[in-house]
Amino acid sequence: MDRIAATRARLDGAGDLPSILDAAYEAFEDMLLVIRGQVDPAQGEFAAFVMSAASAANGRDVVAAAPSLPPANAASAPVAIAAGDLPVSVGAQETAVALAGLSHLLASRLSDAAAWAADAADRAACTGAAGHASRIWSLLAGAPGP
Amino acid sequence: VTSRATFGDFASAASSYLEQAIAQSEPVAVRQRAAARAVQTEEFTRSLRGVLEVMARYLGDITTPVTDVSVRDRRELAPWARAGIEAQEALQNAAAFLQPGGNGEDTGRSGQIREGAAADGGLKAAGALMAAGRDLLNTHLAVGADGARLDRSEWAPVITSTPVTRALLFELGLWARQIAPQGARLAISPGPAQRSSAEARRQLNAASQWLWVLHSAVQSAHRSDPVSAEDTRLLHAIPVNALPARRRPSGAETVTGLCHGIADSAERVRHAGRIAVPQASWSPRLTAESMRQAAACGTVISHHCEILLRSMAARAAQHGSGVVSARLLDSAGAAAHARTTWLHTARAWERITTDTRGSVSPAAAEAADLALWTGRLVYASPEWTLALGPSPAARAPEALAPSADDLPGIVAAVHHSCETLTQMAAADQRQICTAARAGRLLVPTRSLPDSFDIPHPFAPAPPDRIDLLVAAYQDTRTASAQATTAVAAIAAAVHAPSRVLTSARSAVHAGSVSFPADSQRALDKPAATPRRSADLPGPVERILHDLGVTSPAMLLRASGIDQAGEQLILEAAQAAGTQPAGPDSRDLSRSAGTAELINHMLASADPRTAILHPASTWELEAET
Repeated sequence: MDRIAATRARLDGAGDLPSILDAAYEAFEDMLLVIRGQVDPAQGEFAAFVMSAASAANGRDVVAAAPSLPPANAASAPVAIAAGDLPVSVGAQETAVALAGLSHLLASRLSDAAAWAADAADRAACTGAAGHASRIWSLLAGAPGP
Repeated sequence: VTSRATFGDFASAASSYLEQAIAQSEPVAVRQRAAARAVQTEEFTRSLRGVLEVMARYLGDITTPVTDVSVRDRRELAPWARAGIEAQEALQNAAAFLQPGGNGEDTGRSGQIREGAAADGGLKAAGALMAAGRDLLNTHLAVGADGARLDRSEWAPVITSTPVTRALLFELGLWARQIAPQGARLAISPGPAQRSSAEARRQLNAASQWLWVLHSAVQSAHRSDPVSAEDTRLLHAIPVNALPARRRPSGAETVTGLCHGIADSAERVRHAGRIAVPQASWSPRLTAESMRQAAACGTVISHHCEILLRSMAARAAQHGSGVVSARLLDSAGAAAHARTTWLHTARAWERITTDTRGSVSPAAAEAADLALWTGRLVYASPEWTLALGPSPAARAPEALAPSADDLPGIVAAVHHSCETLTQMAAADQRQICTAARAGRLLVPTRSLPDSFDIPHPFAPAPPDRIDLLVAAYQDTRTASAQATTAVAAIAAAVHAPSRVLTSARSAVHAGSVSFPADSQRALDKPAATPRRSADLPGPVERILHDLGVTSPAMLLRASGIDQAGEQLILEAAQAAGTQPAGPDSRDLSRSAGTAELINHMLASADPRTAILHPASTWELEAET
């Protein structure tokens, strides 16, 4: 959950288009990693997590096509985590709520960025990625709170 | 399985009409009876001409035109190859006797005495139904610009498969057997004394005899290499090529309605996947979004299958079906394994992308529909979706299958789903291999190590990632096929309507028929023992029937006399056949009495009656 909180902080702190795109790329990557640790057929969230992972990968690819996305640097490169990296106490529902919140923020920041972006390709990337983030939110937002 | 018209609907209706191929005459005075019979003969002949045209088209579809296969070479052919050739010849000969305007056709007279006979029997209707059945089969096939056959549906390779082609030829033989005795009976019944009428009746009788020859040829192949009831069922189950309309569950469906929705949705997924494969090298719809959605849906659908199978296992156990319950649990395990492999494939797609983005293919959209349909069957809530909501409770086993009779429908729904996942995995793997060869698989440059200096957002996918993806699909194909096989066995055990899927699959695996190419397998079984005609009494027995005799003992004696007479004729004919000028039934059918006897012998489909086959029209012309 710390990872999601850190990602949210990066998104909140991003001020310009390259920073937002950079943070968005990493946010989608982080979602993939977190979801991977939570996909469990025994849980009721199984289908929603599986579908969310597809949307997260789609969102990442769309952001990757944005001309203003800066090259990766060591500071922003994702650190691979395994399922065990998440605290055992963090349940699927709690994770779903956290990811829903992150995806909502992501959609909001990308939609805002689409409005500022001067380059049409950047605008298209931001709009497309916001759509994928919204899709994740719609899949996970129905989870009952922890 | 489907609410669409099937070939069996038309074939069965045609057979029903053929039972009454001759219209029942209305009561008329004795002096008018012969004239009425003449009208019936004309109308029957006219309708038969149409039926033979349709049957010839069927044979043209499933056999290669006879050109230069000598009688000696035919002995080397496989039974069904020889039957196809002989059936074609028999049909051509029968049709030749019924050429319009030929000897004996007395046009224009029927209007004068129409009140004495019913206008039409069932033959005309049967011909129309046969034609409709052929049209139905042909909705699945097309011919390309180069003349090659194109498959328009998943049923196309089934239609051209060896088992179904044989079943169709067998069906033609049965139709011929239904028509022949009625035509012969009409031909040898008393008619007016005009010369033209007598000729017409002789020709109708000859045509009927050739239909018996057709039936006999097919029966001979059937005795050597039988057409199974399963093959006939499969032929009859072939539906018209009309894809079910796309629809999503409304929330008001019953369990049965959901099962039907799953079958329809599954068919749409298979259809969309089949179309996508040949377009993989260029289609803008082959996107990572599409493939990810399809893989995610495959994961979810196989998950649903597992839950349904476990639930049915519990229900079967409650009904006391321990064996079925155990098999359902095994199948559930197979479905769970398939789910794991689908999940690995979905994860492999997280590390790879495509050169086109932004659209979702029809196949992926249909897969999402199937995930929704199966989810609605699994979960009790009629508003269930893939998104999270209030904790989803699975449908209780007793709600899923209130009685044991409900089990086959649900097994069928799972069977359709598993079969579809198997085909989807195969289709997607083929698309990926094609896309990889076309250089369409990429990765975000950011995902590559720093040692790669690529000034573009995406780079060609490294071979190891492609290999992982292809391997993941291969595992998924294998696991999905194993789940399908397990569920298919249960479908067979509980007589689920989806059994036709298994039959179709095995028919396709048996290969498609090409009679000349398939013809090298020689007959290796002895000819079956001759049988007597079951549908036509011999002349002595018929006379007793006409006299109103019902005593089984007397009828048995009459039948014995008929058989003894036929045996004597056959022995005599075989002896005569070794002499330079052998007999043929044309010679032996000159009177109504002898024609009846020959007809009865031909109807027995006894291979030895080959020596009595009637002459063809060209043989008759050669003599004059």
